Amino acid sequence: MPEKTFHKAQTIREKAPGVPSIVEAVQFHGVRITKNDALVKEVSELYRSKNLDELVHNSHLAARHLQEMGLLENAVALIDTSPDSKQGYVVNFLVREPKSFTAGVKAGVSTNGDADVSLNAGKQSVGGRGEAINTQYTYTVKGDHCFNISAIKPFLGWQKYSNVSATLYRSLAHMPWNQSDVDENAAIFTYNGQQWNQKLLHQMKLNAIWRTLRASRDAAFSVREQAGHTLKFSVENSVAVDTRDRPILASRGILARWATEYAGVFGDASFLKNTLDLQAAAPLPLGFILAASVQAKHLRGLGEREVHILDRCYLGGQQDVRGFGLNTIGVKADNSCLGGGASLAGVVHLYRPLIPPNMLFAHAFLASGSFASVHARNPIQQLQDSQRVSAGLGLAFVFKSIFRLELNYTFPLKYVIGDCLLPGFHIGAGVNFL
Amino acid sequence: MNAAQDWEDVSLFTPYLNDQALMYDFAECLAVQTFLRMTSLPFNVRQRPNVDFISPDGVIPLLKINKTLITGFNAIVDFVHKKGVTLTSHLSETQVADMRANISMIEHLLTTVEMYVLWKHDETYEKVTKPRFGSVFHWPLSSVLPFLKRRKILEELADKDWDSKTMDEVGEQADKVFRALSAQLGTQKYLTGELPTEADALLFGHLYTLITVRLPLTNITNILKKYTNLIEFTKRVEQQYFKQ
Repeated sequence: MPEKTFHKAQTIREKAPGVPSIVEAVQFHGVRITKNDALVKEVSELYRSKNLDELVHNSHLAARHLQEMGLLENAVALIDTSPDSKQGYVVNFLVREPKSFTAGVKAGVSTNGDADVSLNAGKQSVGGRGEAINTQYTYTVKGDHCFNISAIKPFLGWQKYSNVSATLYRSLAHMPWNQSDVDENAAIFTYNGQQWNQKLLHQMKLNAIWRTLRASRDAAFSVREQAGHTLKFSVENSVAVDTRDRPILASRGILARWATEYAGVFGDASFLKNTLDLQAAAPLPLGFILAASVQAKHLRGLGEREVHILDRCYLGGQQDVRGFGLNTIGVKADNSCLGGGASLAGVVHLYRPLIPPNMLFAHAFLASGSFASVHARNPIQQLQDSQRVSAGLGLAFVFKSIFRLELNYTFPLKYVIGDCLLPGFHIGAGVNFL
Repeated sequence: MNAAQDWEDVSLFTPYLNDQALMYDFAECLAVQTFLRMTSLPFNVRQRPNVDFISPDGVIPLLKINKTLITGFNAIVDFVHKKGVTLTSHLSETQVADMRANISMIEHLLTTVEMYVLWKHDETYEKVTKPRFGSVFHWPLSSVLPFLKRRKILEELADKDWDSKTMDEVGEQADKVFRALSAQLGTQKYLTGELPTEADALLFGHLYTLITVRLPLTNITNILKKYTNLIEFTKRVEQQYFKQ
């Protein structure tokens, strides 16, 4: 490329809308392994830009999309005038392709909120069309292990956010709420896509999981009776509308998600599980944010056998009904929690940003959760009777969109004797919070 | 302690005896049932596909009394003894020691012979062991789990130096056990005389299983059939405790 001075897009923004444009060429600089057809799919829309403003905007979108699809590690769009015609433009993408191989170590937080360390290795854009292979080995401070290998293939195209992936994993985890351990060997196929002009997020999953439940010496007999090998084949379908500005701690917007899991064609498990998530957040005066979340789950056994303890609904913990032990709200037998057949949990939050903004928040909440047993004749009545309530004050720390850390002083307000209460200061960390 | 008062809500957990239980597990479950019938203690049998996981140490069968779990023939006999119920009160110490030796011989030698036949002999594994062991699982676990179990049992046999034995040598081991027990029984009603003990229960469990089991290989059963007093003993115990 000849020596030239480039300016940021803002400099021409005000003048651009009226300027007609014809894209004469789109050039990539730095491409070695990325396939030509993949790039064509990604940028062909640029040729339809009618004016300079649209071209600037679309070039930026294209550059970002190329990176988000894992096709390129870095892409910057530079728009140049064509030497041949007055209205002609040439779009140059200066790109860096993904490294041939990546490996790393990181400390993080598991979905259950335990600190964990993971070793990962992967290869991005394996075939030059954004396909990626990743492997990960994770162990948590509590001694859980997980080995995971996944392959993902994006569907390329203008502003298309859909992909298919296949994951194999093997995990060993301890479940303190019912005094047992579970080994899982699983194969999962996932489709992620968007419908209706990208407003509706759609996910479909096929799960095949071989689970081995091992009861510890202290486990209740009701847990022990379900120990052993079970095979679960299930199909999960979930649709969601998400207008939140940030996924982990939103200041405005709503999330509505409905997920259905059906198991029963093959394997031991046969049930239908519906989960409805609703979240809403709105800014208040003085920088306050009011947010509310509701999660309702319903489980129906379809076979003769009762729904396995591993498939039931659980509540309690720092991520939903704070102030109660993790997954301890449910039908109890001795010191074990056997879960339920339906659950309803809701949390109302009030946040006030502190310094640094968008990272640290003062946080007050009121949480409620209730459950119905798997055999419940009248689940609505049981949901009313089994309500637990807690409230608390504390700090919430959000690290980008990666995880959230809460330090709360909790007061369990409504509980029954035998509940596993955790009053006082507690730390909760994770990704999925109600 | 009065055994009758505490002996409430007693369940014996066994695998599915007709379709799932392997020879030696079937024999142990039958032995425990026979023993409990000899003591006239009441119990229910509950058949479950996952008894090896319900059992805290994986040993079959499992006796549950309220919240107490006891596993395996010997532990159950000991537990019942602690409750004050015993079948050996009429025996001298030497006789008790002899009886214990018989139990140990059956537990170790006869069980190992049965394991060898079930897991080491290819045809028996394919036609009997694998289908029975895998019967409670769905594919592909119905193939994977028998394979893993076979590997584990073959290691155990190797630890005992049994993996290099031929079928004839294993038959000799079985013959040795049958000969000793046959000599001990003689013309008596039970191993130690007129009254049954736990050794009789265990012996009956294994002999009845060996006589009735259908295997591609009949050598062990044929060896057993030479000892007519053992066959008679088995018929007698069956008549007395299971056909009334």
